[in-house]
Amino acid sequence: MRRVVLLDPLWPLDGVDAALAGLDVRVEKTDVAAGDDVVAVLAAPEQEIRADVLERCPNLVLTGTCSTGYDNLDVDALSDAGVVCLHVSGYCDEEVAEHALALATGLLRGVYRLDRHVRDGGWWPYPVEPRRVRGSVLGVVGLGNIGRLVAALGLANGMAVVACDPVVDPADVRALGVEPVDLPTLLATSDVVTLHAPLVDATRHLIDADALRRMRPDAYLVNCARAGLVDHAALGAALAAGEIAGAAIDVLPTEPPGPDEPALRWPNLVLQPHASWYSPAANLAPYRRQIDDLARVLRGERPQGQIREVGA
Amino acid sequence: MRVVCIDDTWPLDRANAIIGPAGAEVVFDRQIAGDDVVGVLTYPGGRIDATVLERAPNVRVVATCSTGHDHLDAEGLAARGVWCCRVTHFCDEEVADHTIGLAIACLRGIVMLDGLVRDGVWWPYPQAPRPVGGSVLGVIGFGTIGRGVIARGAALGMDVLVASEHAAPDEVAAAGGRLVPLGELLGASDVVCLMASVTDRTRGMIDAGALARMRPDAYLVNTARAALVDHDALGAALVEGTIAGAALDALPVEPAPPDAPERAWPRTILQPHAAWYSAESDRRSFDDAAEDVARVLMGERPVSFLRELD
Ligand SMILES: NC(=O)c1ccc[n+]([C@@H]2O[C@H](COP(=O)([O-])OP(=O)(O)OC[C@H]3O[C@@H](n4cnc5c(N)ncnc54)[C@H](O)[C@@H]3O)[C@@H](O)[C@H]2O)c1
Repeated sequence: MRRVVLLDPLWPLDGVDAALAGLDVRVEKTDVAAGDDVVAVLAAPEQEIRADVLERCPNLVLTGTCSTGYDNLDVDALSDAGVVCLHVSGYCDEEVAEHALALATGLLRGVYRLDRHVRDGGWWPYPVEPRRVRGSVLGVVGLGNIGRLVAALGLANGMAVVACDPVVDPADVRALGVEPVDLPTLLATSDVVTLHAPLVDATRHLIDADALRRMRPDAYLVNCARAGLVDHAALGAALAAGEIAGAAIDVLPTEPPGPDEPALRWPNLVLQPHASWYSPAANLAPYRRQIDDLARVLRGERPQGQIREVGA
Repeated sequence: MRVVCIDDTWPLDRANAIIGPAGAEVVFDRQIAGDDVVGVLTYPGGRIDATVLERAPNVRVVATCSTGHDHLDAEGLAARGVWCCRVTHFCDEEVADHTIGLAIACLRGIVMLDGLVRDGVWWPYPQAPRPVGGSVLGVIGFGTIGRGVIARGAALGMDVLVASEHAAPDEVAAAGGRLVPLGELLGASDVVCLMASVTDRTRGMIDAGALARMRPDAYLVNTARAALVDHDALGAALVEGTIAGAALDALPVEPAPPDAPERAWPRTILQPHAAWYSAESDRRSFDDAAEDVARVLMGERPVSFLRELD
């Protein structure tokens, strides 16, 4: 019988057998994908599927990540070799946008640091200096599905919103009530910079030491997208030197982080455990949708979450 | 002429810029004494009553940089011809921002999630963040700040319920909410925000009975006053898990002492009476008070006084 390999040990299995009934496949959780019987390999965002899987699984038909971002798949190499690459989008757009807004508001109002301040024996807001949310400038990097919602929530919350996105027409940006700007302008004007671009070669370390220096000393950075968008060594240095006021990050270079993760010791940092996508409704959605897509591919139908066409 | 300021954090340069043109100099002094003292600037820790006139008989105005005025004997001072002033509405936007910030911080679990990461836990499951859009925000109280919270909640796509004894349904609807009885609000809300002032009718209104009506997955946000809540009952509800959590910017004793019981409550965000703060509101609290002092010294009526003079 053909095998479907799940690299994610947390992948929920309820409903999987029913969805794949009659397709002559057996589902197995393992951290090594190898064998002529393997037709599909599915992963979570912290697990990588690189081109070497083609040698270990010569009859591979499909790979997938149960996430929106697909920087963990070698999409081009796999698709060139005829392997379908799947991701899931849209299952958590509201959740991520709301989480980013909650983090931005929490940073401006100092919610997290004030809680620490009280528990360290302090009182009164002065050492943290909460700021007004209304009228502050939210800078959205990447106006895709999620970035647009973040912009709308920022406007709803009384913020002025600026955004940069190389592919969105400035007129469309203005139609959202958002001011289109280039990245340096966005960095220099925003009270909070929030990242919603995908991690691709062009966006790796988009926020490097130079970008951080362009930010205002009282500005905050929110990253609910991918850790690779930010040069973490530079971010740690900027936080330690007080070059920016603080940051909130939902993504780390290694997930789950080890005890020696440097970010655990950076000042003025709110850490989240890759949580922005979560709500009870979104919880099982990416897994179910990916398994449904897998079934479509095995039945010879068109999947919904295919990243690009196969073939060189 | 002198105006004595008894608050050593007051920015005296700005007070002098405002009051100087009225012919008085503002000085910091803990003693209010002398025939040349015509006004007093004070703060919530500095009680002023009519006995001030025994040492400074020519005081014509007392102004506090706070909205709360329990520390001023307005009646006694007014009876002796002294204007008693406070500042209002200087931080309406800030408190509304902070309240909605805490409400969405609770729903998205951001403070607790940070704690989990630092305790070595990854993934959101133990905290299970919830959606903001479509959730029910319960606002108790329909004052200026309450209306600000209602507008913000509605703009974020929340379904806003309002309980108030001083509001009409159409007024509440125009503000973006729906007026309901208190019991219904408590039973339906994902987050309950207290935005009422303390009166004999609201003191202790969130008691064991009210907490028992709340959903087990509901949060309580209090950026108003601790006296609205029975803190023994709230502590019990949090420890027993009959509500999901709380965010408190007002405690029964402030600053919170090291043995404040709230420090040990689970799933609780503590804030140091911070909702009012921004650099702008901080400045306005001092400047608005100084402006009323200047008005009185120039023979005008103050804007924000507690008692009319006969
Ligand atoms: N933390 C989480 O739980 C979580 C959950 C879902 C998605 N995400 C991340 O969020 C990202 C965005 O998701 P989406 O659904 O909005 O994707 P999307 O593809 O709809 O939007 C991404 C946008 O970024 C823009 N972009 C590309 N390069 C850019 C650059 N250099 N500068 C500015 N903008 C640029 C694109 O043009 C596009 O409009 C995903 O790629 C994923 O990595 C994280």
